[in-house]
Amino acid sequence: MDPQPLEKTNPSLGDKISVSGVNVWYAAQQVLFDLSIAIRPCAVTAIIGPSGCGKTTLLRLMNRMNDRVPGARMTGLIRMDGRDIYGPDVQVSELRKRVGMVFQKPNPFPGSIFDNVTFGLKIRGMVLRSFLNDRVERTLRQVHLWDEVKDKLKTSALHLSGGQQQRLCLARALAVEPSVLLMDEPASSLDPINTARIEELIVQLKAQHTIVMVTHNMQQAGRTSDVTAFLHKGRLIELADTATFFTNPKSPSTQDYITGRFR
Amino acid sequence: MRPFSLFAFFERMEHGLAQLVRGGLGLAVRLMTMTIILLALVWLGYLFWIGKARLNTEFLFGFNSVVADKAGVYPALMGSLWLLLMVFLLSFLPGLAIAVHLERGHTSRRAKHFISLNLSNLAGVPSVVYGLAGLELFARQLDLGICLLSASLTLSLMALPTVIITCREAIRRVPAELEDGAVALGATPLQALWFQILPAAFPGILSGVMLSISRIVGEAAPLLVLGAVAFVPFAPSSVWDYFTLLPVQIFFWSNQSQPDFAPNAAAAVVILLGITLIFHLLALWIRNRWKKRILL
Ligand SMILES: Nc1ncnc2c1ncn2[C@@H]1O[C@H](COP(=O)(O)OP(=O)(O)OP(=O)(O)O)[C@@H](O)[C@H]1O
Ligand SMILES: [Mg+2]
Repeated sequence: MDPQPLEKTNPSLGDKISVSGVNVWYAAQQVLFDLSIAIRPCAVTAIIGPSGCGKTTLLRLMNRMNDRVPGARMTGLIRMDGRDIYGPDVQVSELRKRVGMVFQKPNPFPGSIFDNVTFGLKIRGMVLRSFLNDRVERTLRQVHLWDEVKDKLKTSALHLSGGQQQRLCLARALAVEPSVLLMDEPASSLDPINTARIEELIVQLKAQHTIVMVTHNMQQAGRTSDVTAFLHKGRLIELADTATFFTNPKSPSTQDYITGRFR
Repeated sequence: MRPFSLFAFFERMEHGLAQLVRGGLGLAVRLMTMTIILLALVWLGYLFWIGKARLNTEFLFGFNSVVADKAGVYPALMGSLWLLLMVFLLSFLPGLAIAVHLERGHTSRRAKHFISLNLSNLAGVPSVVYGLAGLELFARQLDLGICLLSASLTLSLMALPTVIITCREAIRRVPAELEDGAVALGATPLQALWFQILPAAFPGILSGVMLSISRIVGEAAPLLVLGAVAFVPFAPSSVWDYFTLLPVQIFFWSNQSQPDFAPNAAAAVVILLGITLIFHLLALWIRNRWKKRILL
């Protein structure tokens, strides 16, 4: 039941991110146990598992968002491109500029739709108007929001619907072209048509981006991901190529989970 | 008998209350509110009526005099405006900085608790005590003397606890997800603060600061202790100048034995209320413009 080492899943490429032997506590409660997982570059890794098993926590370790949770503590090693991201020489804001994140709950900034998409660009010093305009249109088209908002880019993002806000937050993260994109249930409040579009986008995006995606939707993991990881009670139970994972799961509890027979 | 249930109790109570409101309680509450507002208006009208003879430009731009209907309010008016500006400058930025530090900085929980406790205590200290402290600290120890600067410093010190408390509240009301969103895009904590948190908290910060400062500028007690008098033959032209202020002027005029000074006091009150009103309207305007700009 050991997680498979990366070489078995993809022998040709090195890891983009490697998590090894990670434990996480919130105050006295341990939520991740000796967890190791390798994230393959330019591929989609899906993380599945029951609610509360630690998926969001694992995701938030990879861009150090958990540093911000008071009382959270971590041991273990996480490397990106071979470098310890928790090392003393790492500047957290620089790390997060390369590792984008879409949160489980949409959190648009109070401000216009335009400002939401351009915020990440502006803090990188990209302020040229024509460039921003182009980038806003391109990313909003990518997430299939452009047609709905193209006439109201200057109106408040808080007046968008939940599903529109979710796509806006994805656009906001995409606008800065991060090399890694962490997505926490990116389609949770989308209708079937938009879900299908976003899944399609995710598959396209992996040409340039490394994607780690949390999802509760098994079909979604099956359709979009290359590698699937199953987490249960803070432990990695199974990690395999998606095709193998769903057709031939090794662990009985993975089998139970993906067939819906989970206790 | 059914066991007592708080849910059922509340339901019955709300039902009863709704009936009461329909059956006259609502009317009573409305009447009470109207009465209070009416009383305030009547009082204001009365002041207007008493002071109406003096509400003219001569009074506004004249200097004080022993003859009641020759006396003007100009030095006191300018003193109060100066003070308003100075207290704003001296308490707003430091207060905001301290509030930000307490809310977002790395202060231990115990230190925060200790500071909060002291802040609310300080906000409750009588203004006379601040006057005495200011007299000793600024006028004597720092040897600034009795001048507009020591008065401004004293009142800023007095405004500071409330400014800090209200700014903290405003910052705390900004949801943490907002900062998460900003830092996840690579913003440094300072960038997140400046570009997201403070703009979102600004309306709350502004009303808090305006409220505490306009309250402070109506104070006479600490300034009387600090040595302000009613007879100052010039308007201040720098912070080192001697000064008088509207509340102080009102206090002295209303204390005169001759009744001739009563209209002066009333007119000065109307002017002081006018300043406060303008100040509040300005705050409201800025607040609404801001809300529109950042589209809350
Ligand atoms: N800030 C926090 N403080 C304390 N405990 C936390 C915190 N965040 C998460 N936890 C706990 O850590 C465990 C894992 O939480 P996590 O959010 O990672 O789960 P998840 O797998 O993302 O669940 P879901 O599918 O419901 O989003 C849970 O037991 C949760 O209660
Ligand atoms: Mg989660």
